[in-house]
Amino acid sequence: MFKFQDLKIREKLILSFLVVSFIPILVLGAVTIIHFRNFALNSSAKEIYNELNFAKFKIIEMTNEAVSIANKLMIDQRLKEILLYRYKSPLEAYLKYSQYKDIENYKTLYANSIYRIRIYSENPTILENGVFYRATKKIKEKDWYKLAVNLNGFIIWDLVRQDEDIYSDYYFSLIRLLRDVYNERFGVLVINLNKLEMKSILNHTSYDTLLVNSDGLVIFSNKEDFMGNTFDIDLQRILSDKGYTYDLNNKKYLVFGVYLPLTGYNKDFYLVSMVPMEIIMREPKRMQRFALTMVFIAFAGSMFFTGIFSRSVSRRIGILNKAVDEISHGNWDLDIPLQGRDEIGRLSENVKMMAKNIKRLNELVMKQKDMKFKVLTNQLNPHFLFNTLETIHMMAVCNEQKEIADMVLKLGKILRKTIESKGTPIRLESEIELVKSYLEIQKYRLGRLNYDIEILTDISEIYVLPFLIQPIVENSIIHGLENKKDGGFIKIKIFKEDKRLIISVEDNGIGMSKEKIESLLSDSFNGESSKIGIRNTLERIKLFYGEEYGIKIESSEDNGTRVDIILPYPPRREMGDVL
Amino acid sequence: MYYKVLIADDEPVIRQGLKKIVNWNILGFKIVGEAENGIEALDKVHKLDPDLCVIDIRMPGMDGLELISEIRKSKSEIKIIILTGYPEFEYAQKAISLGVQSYILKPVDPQILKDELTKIYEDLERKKFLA
Repeated sequence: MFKFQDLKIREKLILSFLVVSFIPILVLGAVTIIHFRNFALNSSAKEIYNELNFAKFKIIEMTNEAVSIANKLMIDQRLKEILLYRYKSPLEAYLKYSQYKDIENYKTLYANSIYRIRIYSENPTILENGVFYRATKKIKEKDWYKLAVNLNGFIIWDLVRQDEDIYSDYYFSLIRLLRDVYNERFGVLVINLNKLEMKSILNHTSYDTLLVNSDGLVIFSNKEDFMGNTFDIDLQRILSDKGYTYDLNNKKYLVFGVYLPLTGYNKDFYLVSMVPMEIIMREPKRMQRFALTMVFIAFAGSMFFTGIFSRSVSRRIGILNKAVDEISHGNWDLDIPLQGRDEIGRLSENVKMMAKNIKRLNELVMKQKDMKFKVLTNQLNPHFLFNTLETIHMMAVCNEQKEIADMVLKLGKILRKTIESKGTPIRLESEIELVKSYLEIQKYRLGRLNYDIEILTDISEIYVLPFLIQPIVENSIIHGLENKKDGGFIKIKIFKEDKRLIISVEDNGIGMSKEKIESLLSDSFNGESSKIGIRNTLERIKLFYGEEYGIKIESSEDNGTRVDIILPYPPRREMGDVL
Repeated sequence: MYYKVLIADDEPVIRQGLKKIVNWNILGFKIVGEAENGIEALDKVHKLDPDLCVIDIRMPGMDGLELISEIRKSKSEIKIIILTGYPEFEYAQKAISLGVQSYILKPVDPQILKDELTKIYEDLERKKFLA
């Protein structure tokens, strides 16, 4: 089961970074990419429209020039005369023509816009000279010719194939029936627009640009491939400034268009730019890559710094944790190598302070503990003590006082163990020796005491805290036997049970009430030294071996008492972290 | 045939007691002399040529360790038991380096003394056999 509080601080920091930082970066990145993309598309579109509008203006200018020529020719009386006159000989025609220079002049004047001006006449006597042509049967059957005649003077625009030329070719042309105000017709005018100029105008745009009529037919293009093709596009749609996606020969294009209205009957034309998708997307894609790179760098950068930051935090906490661990094992002089005044720094200062206080308290306790020994060791030279005991001992020996000798010997042993003890675990055998000496002395004192020590497990390698058993035995003698008239008996049993070492001390004395047992093990110190002894022993056991060990007392009044000292098996030997 | 024992202790009661505390003869020893200070002891070592010296580590004049190092100068074979009231580490260390066989704490437990004497006896016997 996943729990947030179970995560390590480092993982928490990284997780919160993901939530707090990664998501905004991602959103920001996405927004940036979309924005850049739109921006790039819009700016390309804008540029394309600028170009298209410019080209449109130029083309309209060209066509307007053609229209103005057409208008002038419409009302040209001399032209009408020349075209309607019945010539008797080519010479006559030649002479007549040579006086008329207007069309030549227009061609020169508008050479940029106009390639050729042609007039088709039904006058059979006309002399063909590259301007005037006979309207042959073939010509008359052409759609544009029929339309021009039908429209009776309206301008039309169409692609005209000029078969009269040596190199016949198509030209975008103005076509108009020439007639006077009395409706007298005198020819059909065709003005071929200047192909080269148109091409150069369209070439000024960045992409393939087409002139398309309202049926979708490509009238003109700066690229031959498109000429004569028909687009089945709803032309209104290409006018949208977002462009229009169009597939041509398995190639994707974005199509932009402007409306190009000409003067005339069929006035609806469109100027269309075909932009290959891959080209228009080149810039947005570059932008996209750039934005993605930036997002990645931002993410990696912040990940890196989060890593460093969280490492520093978790490292600091780790140091503190280790320091606290050390302190809990008794290393109070520890210097915690942590700087900084953040919470961790302050915590470490407090921990240091706490360790100092513990150390001071501990020293105080130790000092008080030491006092007992100091009384004996400092005020009384141990050499003097033991030498004197030996003198008494030997005096007794000399005087054949066996009991005195024995008592002094045992007292000497007890005293030696008391003085030499440093509180560290000693061999259980040695502890039993001490208890034996103690019981022997008590036996001399009370005269009616018997005891038995039964060891039911191998104790050769067992070490225990010193003076664990003696206070219990002392208690048994005082509380159990001292008031008893007949002989007392103390049985000490040492055995292993599960993973515990039990030292049981049993007496056949007057027993204890429940209240008495409770008060023996209770916290309150009031008076009696033997009671303090048991309480003290219990505390030492719990402190050294752990809370699950200690002393268990079973008793009923008049039925003896059994005290079990419960230790782990095997009991620990090293002092380690305990006072 | 008993092994000869010299007892060196400044207290007469203790010298007396030591004689009585164990039965030396049964253990194969015989007390041939007593000394109440180091100088006397050294003198008696030369005169009596004992196999074992029981020496109190604290004596007036010349203390036990000095006495032992003097003895070791001429008699490296003599077995030595030291008696002490309170064992101090430096003393014990020096005693071992001087080839002291045992180190008995006061008040002297007769059982311990007996055990030590038995060990020394066996040691002496082995040496005699090998010689």
